[in-house]
Amino acid sequence: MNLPHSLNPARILVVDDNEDDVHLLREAVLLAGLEAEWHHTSNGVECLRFLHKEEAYSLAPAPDLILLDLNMPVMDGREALEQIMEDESLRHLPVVVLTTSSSPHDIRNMYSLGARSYLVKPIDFGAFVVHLKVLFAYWFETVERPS
Amino acid sequence: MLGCPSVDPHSKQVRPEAWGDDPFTESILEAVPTALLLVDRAGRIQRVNELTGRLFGWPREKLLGQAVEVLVPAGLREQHPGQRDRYLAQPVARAMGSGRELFGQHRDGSEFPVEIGLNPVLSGGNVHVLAAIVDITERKRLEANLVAHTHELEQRGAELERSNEALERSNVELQQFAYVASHDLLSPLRAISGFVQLIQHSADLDPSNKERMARVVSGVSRLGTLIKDLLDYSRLDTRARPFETVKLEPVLRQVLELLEVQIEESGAQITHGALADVEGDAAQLRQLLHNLIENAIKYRGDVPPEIRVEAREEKDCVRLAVVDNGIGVDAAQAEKIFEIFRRLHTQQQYPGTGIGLAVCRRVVTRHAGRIWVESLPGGGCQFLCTLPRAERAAP
Repeated sequence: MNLPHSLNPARILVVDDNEDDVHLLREAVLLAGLEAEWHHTSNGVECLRFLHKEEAYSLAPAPDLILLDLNMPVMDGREALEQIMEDESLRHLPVVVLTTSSSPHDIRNMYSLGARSYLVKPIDFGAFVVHLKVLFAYWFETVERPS
Repeated sequence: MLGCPSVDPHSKQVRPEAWGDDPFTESILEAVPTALLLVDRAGRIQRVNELTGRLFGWPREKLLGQAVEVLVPAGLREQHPGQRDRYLAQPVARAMGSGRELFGQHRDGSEFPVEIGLNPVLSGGNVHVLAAIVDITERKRLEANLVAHTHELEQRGAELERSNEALERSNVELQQFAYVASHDLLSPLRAISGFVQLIQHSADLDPSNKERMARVVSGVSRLGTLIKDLLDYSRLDTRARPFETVKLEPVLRQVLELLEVQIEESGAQITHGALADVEGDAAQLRQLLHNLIENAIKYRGDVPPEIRVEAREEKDCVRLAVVDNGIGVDAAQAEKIFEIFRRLHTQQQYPGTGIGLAVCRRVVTRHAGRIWVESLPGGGCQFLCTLPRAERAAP
């Protein structure tokens, strides 16, 4: 797979407080073959600052895809998604939940709030890479994204 | 009432004057297990049966001619004539047990609870009152006992409820603990697994380190399975759903799809007989069937597994059976295998976590049934459990 066309690398915003998970995600994204422009914030508040280009994020680009963790300090993924969806200027952004929680309540709740996909981080790293390949192939090769 | 003259003073059906004259009537009145006394308008005792004397401790003949107040508790004697007069002004039959609590007084001064029925009767052209008196000391004692026991029972019920609530709370806490613990254990495990796999696939590992890494990976994978199984176990109650009528055939089909790889690898033949509808939690029943069939495939002998699933309707339950031709279960272990973490084999022989059958037992218990295993004479064994019958036909 050759993802995506090299002129515009996919801009991915990862919102996750777990450093290990972020590190592994980065490696997995590389192995999944996605040429990505990588951005990272570690909680909901930071994420919203990034999206609103506030303070240190004045030069932040609009992401093509947001990978949002659920359980984070300060502001968790549920509230972050809620605020994104309430904001006219942000609600078009595709948010994919990437979490350890497989609770049916969380899954239903996040889709209700407006998540575009919900991915449970698998324990097996190989499986994780495969899941990401499928996800990126869908978002960057199959469907049209909002510009 | 047997032996009591008529309730209606104007009725001419009975001849009260017969009491004492006619041996037949006399013997009936003596045979009645009730104290009877006939009192005239002035309140004097005209007639009594033997039982009255015994009840109040008086020789029968000493009562005749006495004011009836002699039988009334001392404290109430004064007001009694007035009560009598009021009664005679409007004499109607008053049944036993109607009105307030009454007491009689024994000749020795002791008082005892009584029930008194009053009937106006005609005697020699005058209205007399026939009183029927029953000693209710024993009944009162039993009533008091009953009240005391009821009270005690209520107290015990309340205690039981309290300890039930406490138990429920600690159960919920335990489940939450298991859930959080296993959930939080998965997170670092995922990191270990990921980094180890990244190292494993880097080129510069010598063969012995490759071998070591392979062992780390397999250990991590086992730990992952264990934690996931624990999570499943802890979720049995938190994710429980209300019971509904469940058709087992589609449930079985889903299970066989999930086990496709194992079935193919082992060459297992899985057949089923009649599958009666069950009242239950479909997701949990799927887990039950999944674990039982997965075990039947896993614990196979040298020949490919032949597994048969049946659910027969019995008188008050459905009896589910998963029959295999595998290595069987030692009769001495037949009970223990349903305990959590109980394993009979090494990881090298048969990998597993020892949670699968504990999950089965918990599912069956939640469905108010029981689960057990029986060895079969020709080798293999059958796992049996009882489940609730469908309340109505499945849609």
